[in-house]
Amino acid sequence: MTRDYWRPAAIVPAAAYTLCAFALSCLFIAATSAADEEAHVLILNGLGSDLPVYQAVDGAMRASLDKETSRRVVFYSESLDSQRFSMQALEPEFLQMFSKKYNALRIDVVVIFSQNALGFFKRYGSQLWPGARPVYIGSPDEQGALPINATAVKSYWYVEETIDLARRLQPNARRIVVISGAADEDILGEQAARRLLSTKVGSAEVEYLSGVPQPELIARLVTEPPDTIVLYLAQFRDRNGRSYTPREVLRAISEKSSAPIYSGGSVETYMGYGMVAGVTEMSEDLGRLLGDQVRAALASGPSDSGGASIAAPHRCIADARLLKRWSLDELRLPSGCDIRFVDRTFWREYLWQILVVLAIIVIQAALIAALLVQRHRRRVAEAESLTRFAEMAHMNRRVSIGEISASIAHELNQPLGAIYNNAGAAEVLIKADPPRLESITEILADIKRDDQRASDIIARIRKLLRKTEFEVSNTDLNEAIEDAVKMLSAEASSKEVSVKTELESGLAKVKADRVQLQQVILNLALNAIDAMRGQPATSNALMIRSRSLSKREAEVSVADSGRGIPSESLASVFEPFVTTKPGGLGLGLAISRTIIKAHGGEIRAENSASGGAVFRFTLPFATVSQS
Amino acid sequence: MTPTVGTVHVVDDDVSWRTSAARLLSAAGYQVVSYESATRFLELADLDAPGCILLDMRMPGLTGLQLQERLADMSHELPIIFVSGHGDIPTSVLAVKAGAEDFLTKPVATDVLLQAVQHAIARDRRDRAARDGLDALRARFRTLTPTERKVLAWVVRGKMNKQIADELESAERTIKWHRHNLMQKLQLRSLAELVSAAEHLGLVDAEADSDPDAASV
Repeated sequence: MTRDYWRPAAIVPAAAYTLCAFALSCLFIAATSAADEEAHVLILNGLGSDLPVYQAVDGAMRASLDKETSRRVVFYSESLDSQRFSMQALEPEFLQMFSKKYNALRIDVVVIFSQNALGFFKRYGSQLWPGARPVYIGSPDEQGALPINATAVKSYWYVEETIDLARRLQPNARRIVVISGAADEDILGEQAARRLLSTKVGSAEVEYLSGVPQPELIARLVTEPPDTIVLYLAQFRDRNGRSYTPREVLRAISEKSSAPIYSGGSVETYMGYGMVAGVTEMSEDLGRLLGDQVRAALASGPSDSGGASIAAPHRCIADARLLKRWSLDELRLPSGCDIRFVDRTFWREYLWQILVVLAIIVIQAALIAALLVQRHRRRVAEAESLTRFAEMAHMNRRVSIGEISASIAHELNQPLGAIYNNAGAAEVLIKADPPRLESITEILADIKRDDQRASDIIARIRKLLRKTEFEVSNTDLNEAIEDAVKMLSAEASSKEVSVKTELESGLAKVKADRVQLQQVILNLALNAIDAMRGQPATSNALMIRSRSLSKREAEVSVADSGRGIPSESLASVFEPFVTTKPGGLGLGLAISRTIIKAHGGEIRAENSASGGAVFRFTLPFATVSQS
Repeated sequence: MTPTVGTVHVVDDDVSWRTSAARLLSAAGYQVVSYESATRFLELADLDAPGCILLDMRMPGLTGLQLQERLADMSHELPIIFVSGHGDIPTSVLAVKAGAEDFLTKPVATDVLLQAVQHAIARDRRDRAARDGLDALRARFRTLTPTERKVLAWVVRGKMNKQIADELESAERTIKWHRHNLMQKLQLRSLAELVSAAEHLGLVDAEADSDPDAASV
């Protein structure tokens, strides 16, 4: 009977069922998705919206909810400001406005701040926000009166704990002054304090200043002995009906007060406004717990009963600056006390950065020190090598002078001999009878001239033998050459070598150390004279030329008429210990090259076409501009 | 010190020394002529007058030693006093061997210089005197006849008159007469003087047995 299955009577109810199920499921999905999408949370604040305590807790709660809720939460907030305006007078208008505002809006959770707001909610909540779950935050005094489906975050005045704390800091206090205001909230606080402190007077007498106008309050506190403990609760209003922000009152009185002021409650909003220490909850803790409660309320069904009331942890907080101001010992605070406004030193603040920077500085300093040490060592080494070279050069000059010492002696003996002869002549002329004085003046003049000549020779040698530092100055090249030639002439003539010079006139000055320059000329010339040894005397000629090679440098050449340098030795003549002279050290040319290089010049050896060797070296002019 | 009159030739390239030496020697009473080089000396010097040469060893061009050599070649025998700026022994030995009168080192002490010059000039005078005596002897020798020269040659060889007469195939008397004549002409008084004169004239040599006719001057 499979055909029955296809009967129209059977098909219609089946289709209707299917359609209905589809429509229902669509509706259900739409409803859940709408509920999933947004949650509406109304914050009903019994106090002023500008009150710091409210703002601090509200902000913390919103932050907590924003962070940890899957649904988007839309916040609404209403402030009744009941501590400043009479609720009795305004309630009809609030009611009218709220019913208008929230008529078409479904509020899921109402967060109730303070007892005033709780009273308002209890009276009108179900009417204004039907189905909304209340979450209360405030003093637990009337907790028994919470709506059935409400949850709560309890907030306390930690008067007892704060007084304990104060007595730890001021064990010798003889008075305790409790300050509160005349508003409803103020009175609630004061009542709590009276309840808690009635047994806790100890040796200290307790005085309550309730609703005292600010100027009078200040006048009272100025005269208070400094060991008094002042406990500030809150002052929303004074007895004259004048409204205040409690925190501003604290600030005003603490500036003038001669005794430290403590506070327990109002979360940490008094911190920094004149409160030296106290025990209180933290706005962040309250906000987080409140957020938890709101989340739980949003998650629970409308008919679920209220959750548990929870309390926030409390802790000791203190203002380091004020502890200092009243000379209270920080060490007397219980361990774990949150001390704020510690004059945080730079060290504490940026310890690791400082360490990193210090490490870098230390590393860099070490690096710099290492480099400096290295540089110093290099300098020392350079200075040492310079000194060594100077010594070597000096030795070389001494050897050169030694080589020509016979000639120098000969040269020196000429004027000395002449002086002797002249003196002898003068003696003879004076001893004659009668004395013949006609040529004495002439003789004396000659003696002086010859003496000068002798001392010139000695001066030249001494200059060359002097141990000097390498010192470059503007030097007349031709003058230096002529001087060297004078020193050489005796040696040359003893070796039957004629010395000739061809010096370019008007040659600009060169940058050179005169002594070393002459040393080079002397080395080259003595080598040249040596090279011509054993040749027929008539042809022996030594030619020293100077000329400007370019705008930048001058060239000096020393040419001999010897046999020249064997071509295989041309490259190595400047190497140290390479010598062709029997008994020569082979240092003269090596030293000459070092000297010329140190002057920024070049030296080279070649054989001239006409026979004989030519040594050329260049020296930079002192000023380039001259050509 | 009394200077022996004579000319001192100062040859030195160093003008100071030359001038001062000249001045000293003039003051001491000598005739002084200065030359700046050996070449100038050769050109200008009057070598006939008695004197000496004060010669620098080391000079450009002709050196002192070379000049000494040159003068020896020319048979000029003017005494040479070498003066050196730096006396080295090999050079001084060379100079003295070549007949230098003295070798001085600059600076020269005044009295040493003057003494050296004095000695040199004295020697020159003596030499000159000796040379002058020999010249006279030669002149007298030239006046002898050939026979007289032959007789002289035999006499200085120690021959007796009789032996000479036999050699010359002549009478002993004739020889005696020739001998007397030649002694007169040569202005000699004894056989010893005759032998000495013959030696100076170079008539007595290794070829003692050669023909005396060959002996001539």
